[in-house]
Amino acid sequence: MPKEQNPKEKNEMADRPQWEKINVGQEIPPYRVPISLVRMMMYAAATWNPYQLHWDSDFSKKRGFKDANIAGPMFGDYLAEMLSQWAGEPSYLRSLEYSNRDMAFPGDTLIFRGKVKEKRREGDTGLADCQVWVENQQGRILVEGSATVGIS
Amino acid sequence: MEQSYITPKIQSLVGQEVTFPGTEPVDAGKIRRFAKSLGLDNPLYYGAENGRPVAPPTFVFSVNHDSLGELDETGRPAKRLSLPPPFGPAMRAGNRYQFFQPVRVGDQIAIRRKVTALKEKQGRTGTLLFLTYDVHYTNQKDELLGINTETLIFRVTPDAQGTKSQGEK
Repeated sequence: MPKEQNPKEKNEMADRPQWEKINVGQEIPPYRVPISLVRMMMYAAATWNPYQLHWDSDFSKKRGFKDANIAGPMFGDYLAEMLSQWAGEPSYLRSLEYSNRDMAFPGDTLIFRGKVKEKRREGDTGLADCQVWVENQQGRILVEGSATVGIS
Repeated sequence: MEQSYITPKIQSLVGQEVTFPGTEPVDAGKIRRFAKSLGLDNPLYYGAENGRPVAPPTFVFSVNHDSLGELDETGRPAKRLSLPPPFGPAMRAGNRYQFFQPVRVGDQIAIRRKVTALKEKQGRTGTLLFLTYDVHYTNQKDELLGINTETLIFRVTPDAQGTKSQGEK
């Protein structure tokens, strides 16, 4: 649903949430990522974490898993990105807490989601406390958590 | 009264502190490869403006800063926190990240890890041990970059390799 009342006023700041316009219960735009084995392998290389469980299908299947498992920190990375994009600036992110509930595998599309649970003030800064979670393409919840974002 | 699996030796982990100075300063490539591996498109992460990328907020926590650390045959760090049998391999239960400032090119990241809590619980599938530690990340100016509070689950299991599920549901 379009939120911009006057498109002429749109500028680079237009996509940033403004304190007055944030409502409790408001949804944060979801961030979708299809996960391939290539991405998992690149991530293992880029983070210098070569544990085979996170990129080697044969290794993981031999240990009873359906396939290689997506590395846990990747969920945190994308939750942070979803919140950064919404806030307009990665440095506005204050804290992020998340717990793993289920696994994800290559071929899954992950949907990173969130909504505003509370608005509060800390001095001059507005803070939004958010509920965050990760679903797969079947709507199964893989990760649940919370985050605090600074909104000026 | 049920038997506790927390031996004095395991209990002595609480309060233990390990420090590690990063192997080398962070370079632009390390930040760019991290952002690219995730497919992120914020130009900040690639240094589009001045050639000096600013790392995504989670870079400090997700990247292994020990380039020369020994690995076991499956690629896991040899120095990772683990518990002796009958505990199985560690599974990640949850993380809490606190962000103070992003990593920049040239930062020498130092790490301090301290075990803060140990808890035994009866899960559906048997005894579980929850181990929590704080990892503080600082730069060369001793400025705090971030804190990662991580909890690991260890399951008491006769068959350490057979565990599939990620913790209590």
